Amino acid sequence: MIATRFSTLSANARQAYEFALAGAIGAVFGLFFYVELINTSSIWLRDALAGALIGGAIGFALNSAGPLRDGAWLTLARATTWGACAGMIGGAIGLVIGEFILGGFQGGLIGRAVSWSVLGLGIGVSQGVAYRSREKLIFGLIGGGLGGFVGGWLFEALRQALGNRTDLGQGIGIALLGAGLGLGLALVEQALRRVWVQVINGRQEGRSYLLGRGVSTLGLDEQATVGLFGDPAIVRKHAEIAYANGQYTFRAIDGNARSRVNDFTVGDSHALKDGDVIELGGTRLIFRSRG
Amino acid sequence: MWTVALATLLVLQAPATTPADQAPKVVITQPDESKFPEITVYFELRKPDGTFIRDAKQSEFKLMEDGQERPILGFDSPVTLVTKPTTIVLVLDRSGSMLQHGKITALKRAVGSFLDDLPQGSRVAVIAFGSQIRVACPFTTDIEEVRSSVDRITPGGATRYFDAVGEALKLLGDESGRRAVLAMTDGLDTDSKRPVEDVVAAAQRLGVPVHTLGLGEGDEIDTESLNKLAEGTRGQSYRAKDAEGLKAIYQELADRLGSTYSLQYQTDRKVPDGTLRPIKLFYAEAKEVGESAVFIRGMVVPAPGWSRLFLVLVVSLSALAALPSFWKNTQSGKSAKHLMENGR
Repeated sequence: MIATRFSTLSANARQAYEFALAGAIGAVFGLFFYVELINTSSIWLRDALAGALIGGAIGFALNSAGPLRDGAWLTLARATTWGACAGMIGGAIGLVIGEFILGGFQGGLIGRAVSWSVLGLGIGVSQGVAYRSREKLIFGLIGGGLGGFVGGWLFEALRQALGNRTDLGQGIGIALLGAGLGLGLALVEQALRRVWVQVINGRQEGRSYLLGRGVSTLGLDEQATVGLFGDPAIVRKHAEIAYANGQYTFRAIDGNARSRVNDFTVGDSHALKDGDVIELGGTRLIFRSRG
Repeated sequence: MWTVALATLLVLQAPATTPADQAPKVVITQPDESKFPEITVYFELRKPDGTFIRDAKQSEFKLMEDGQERPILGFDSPVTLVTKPTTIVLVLDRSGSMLQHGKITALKRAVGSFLDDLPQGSRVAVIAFGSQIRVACPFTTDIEEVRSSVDRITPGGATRYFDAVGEALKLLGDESGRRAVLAMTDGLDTDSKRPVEDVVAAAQRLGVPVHTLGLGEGDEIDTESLNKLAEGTRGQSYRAKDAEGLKAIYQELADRLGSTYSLQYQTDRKVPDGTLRPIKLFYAEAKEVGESAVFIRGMVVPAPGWSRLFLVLVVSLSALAALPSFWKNTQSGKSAKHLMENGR
């Protein structure tokens, strides 16, 4: 049990780390596209396009981190389309409002920090809205707002310290904004999830999947709730976890495939409780349920 | 000893004071950064007696941005043949109290002569406010159209002065070049939703001067707020007791709008980077330097040519992303051995 708890903790840390880096990489790419591609003299149009590129890139990166590790291309396409579109809208609105705010402050450290914070808020909100999740919205706000504030502050501080050199400060600043967003969104998931399974070994080690109220499928299928790839002993429709009357129940669908819970072969079905270890082929998952 | 020194000082200063009395001061009315990197500075040379110098030459000016002298690229004085059109919003009080003492007639007459005196090509819009604020006349260069729409104004309702000025600024937001708001009222603002500070901030953001005109006597008018609005926006606050006074003020304003210089210089910022640039404008004969600051918008800076830095950032972030797997792999050797020993 101690070993399990330890691995959960490190898996959580790793997930947060990955999300933060994904956000940072997305933000840096977005800024790069803006700087290299956008060439218009109208400040507001330029701002809207810049916001759309930065927000879109962050939205894309944050939503691609998980599916990319799984190698689930269909899921990747679906998730990133939504995430990127929402991020584009949120970023564009956030940057235009931020520009207004920076004008109000007439520049300066605090002005830059607050205006960038608004850009982060815009992208954070968009990720919450895209998934119709109030929790994601709130943590997106916190992560984006804080990340943007620190990033903007650092940008202005570096610009002033380096004799008006904008590239370095802005590059690092935007990476911090993206990292803040990624971290915020990862922490929300970890703090607020109720029922989920987490992969213990194999290629997807550490990945966790939220289980809803209904039937969640496990298997090699791209459409599966818990898509498990890279284990040759797992079949397309391997097993399912169904919810009914306050109880999650594990069922093996394919009788020929190896399915075990807590080292016992499951015949028809097995009522799951927190900490149960599910074994599909050679892949082990832990079932977690809170409250 | 001290008396001698003092006397000498007085004597030395005496001849200098007389011309200094007449020496104009440079007043920057509006810096405009909309054509970045070219900055246009609108200013006037105001003499202590309230009149303006109109025939100063470009060579008599020197411009500094953030302590560095910048060459003046373009210069227009009021006497230059090509007049620069001005965009003006007239904010007129049509509250119920304007019916008293024939104030509305006096206002219409004063505005009429103001329109005659305006520099040719000026664009004018009119906002009339009572309880409701409406655009009585959208922007036009047709002075007759403005005149007839002013004549059609009928009084009635409360006073929403600051809201009306806010609307005027909104109209000017899409305009470029030399801009001004002339906002007239005859009473205390009773119904505005926006506080005066809010309106001042909006005008400062646009760099538009708001000239305020109070018509009436004593505490009928919130002099303090009108002063605050004018001073905060580099405009002037005027006060008229009667019809004659009102007419004189509108005439002076027309005169003033026809006394504005403009000059262009190139800022030393290569990209719009969201910084505030202090400006100082020196005039050879002036005793007071014109000071202002132009804010160059740019929350996210379009600084090109950072491909190398971009690569460094992406490579280091990717390296960080790969770090846990790498670490895991070096560890897994150990744990596999450990598992074997325990006999799984």
